[in-house]
Amino acid sequence: MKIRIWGCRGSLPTAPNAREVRGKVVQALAMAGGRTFESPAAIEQFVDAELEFPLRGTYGGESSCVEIDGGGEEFVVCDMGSGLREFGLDSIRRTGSEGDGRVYNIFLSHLHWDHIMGFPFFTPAFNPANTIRFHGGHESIEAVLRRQQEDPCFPVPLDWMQAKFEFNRVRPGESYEIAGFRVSVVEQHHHGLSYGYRFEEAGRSVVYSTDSEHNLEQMDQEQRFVDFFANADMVIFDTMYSLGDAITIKQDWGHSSNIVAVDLCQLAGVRRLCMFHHEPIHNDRMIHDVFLETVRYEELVRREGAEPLQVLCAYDGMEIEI
Amino acid sequence: MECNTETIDGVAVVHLSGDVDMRSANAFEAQFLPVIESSAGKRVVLDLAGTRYMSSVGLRVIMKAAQAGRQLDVTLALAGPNEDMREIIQISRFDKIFPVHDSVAAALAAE
Repeated sequence: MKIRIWGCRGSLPTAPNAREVRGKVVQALAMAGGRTFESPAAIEQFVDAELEFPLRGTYGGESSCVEIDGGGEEFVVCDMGSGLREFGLDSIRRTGSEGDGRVYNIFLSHLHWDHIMGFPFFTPAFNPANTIRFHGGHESIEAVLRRQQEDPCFPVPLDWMQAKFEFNRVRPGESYEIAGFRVSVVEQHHHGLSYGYRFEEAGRSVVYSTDSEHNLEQMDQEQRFVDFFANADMVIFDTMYSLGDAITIKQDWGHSSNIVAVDLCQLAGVRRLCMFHHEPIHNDRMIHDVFLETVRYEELVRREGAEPLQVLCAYDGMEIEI
Repeated sequence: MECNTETIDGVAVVHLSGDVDMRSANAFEAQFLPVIESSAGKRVVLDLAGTRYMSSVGLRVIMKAAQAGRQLDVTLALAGPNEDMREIIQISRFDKIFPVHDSVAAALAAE
């Protein structure tokens, strides 16, 4: 199973501006310290070995979109944030001339704007040979997608997209066989509710759990998530805020923290945690610092003799083999 | 996990011993919250010197207690964290919410 992150930013797409890129270039050249590189390969070696990720790259700014690739004929993707545009183009590149007649399964955590805004730009939806299957716990998926593309918000109404659309309402606590995966659903605390999904295939499992708040009043609910995450190979988890922010000034904003992510994953015996839904006001350096702190927190609270929980920090373009 | 409370110069000092995680959080809440609720208008110091580590569940119990105390004009401070606890407090950003003192004596001496 391969996981591809097409959009990992929370709430609002972002992009580094010219000043930030210039700052990275200046720091990278300073790190080179006047060295001469004899080949592009030597430069790449320097970049990969000596420059930290926020200097040599970027976490990216597309809003939520994650592909779950089990190697089957049908595509599976979670959420339709702005990252869906690039996923759509890549899926066409990958399938080439045999791309017609594909089925795209889209699992929706919820219908807030940052999770659906990529759909009007989803090229496969304009191909009449394709089928787009929307899976979600909300009743109003079709109505919300129509509204998003109505005048005066967008010039292309939903009906102009010629793919066949199907809407499949899923229910928490239930499991489904979809596109070669066994898919389980959990209800999450978020404004208007959200849903998390667990995908299992050939003994591998990944959980997509974003826009899910674990607040002070619902601490007795946490065993439910420990059970849902149990022994997963990877959990993709909303780590938008610090714990301090999540339970004070940003309480009831619908998001969680890196600390709660580590605790739940450790309790559930998860192998890998993928930090996701990054705070849009954070630049690459800030996200990276929170990532390093999360790795450290995992070390601090790991039970003696327990297997380490590997902590990853999602970036746009990231591929993870499960 | 155990909480023992003493009053020093009118300040309720809660000595927490043992780790706080999902297994012990309920007991921590059951022992700590009543101290806050009976300290209207006073200061409360949570002494962490006997705590090796605390997970998010324990930190959230502290926040619940602080929120309950706010309505009663109770002010809460943390004292005596070991190096690991100090890191946990910093990573969770609780150091932006609560005063953190090196010791109970330092907390008592602070205004």
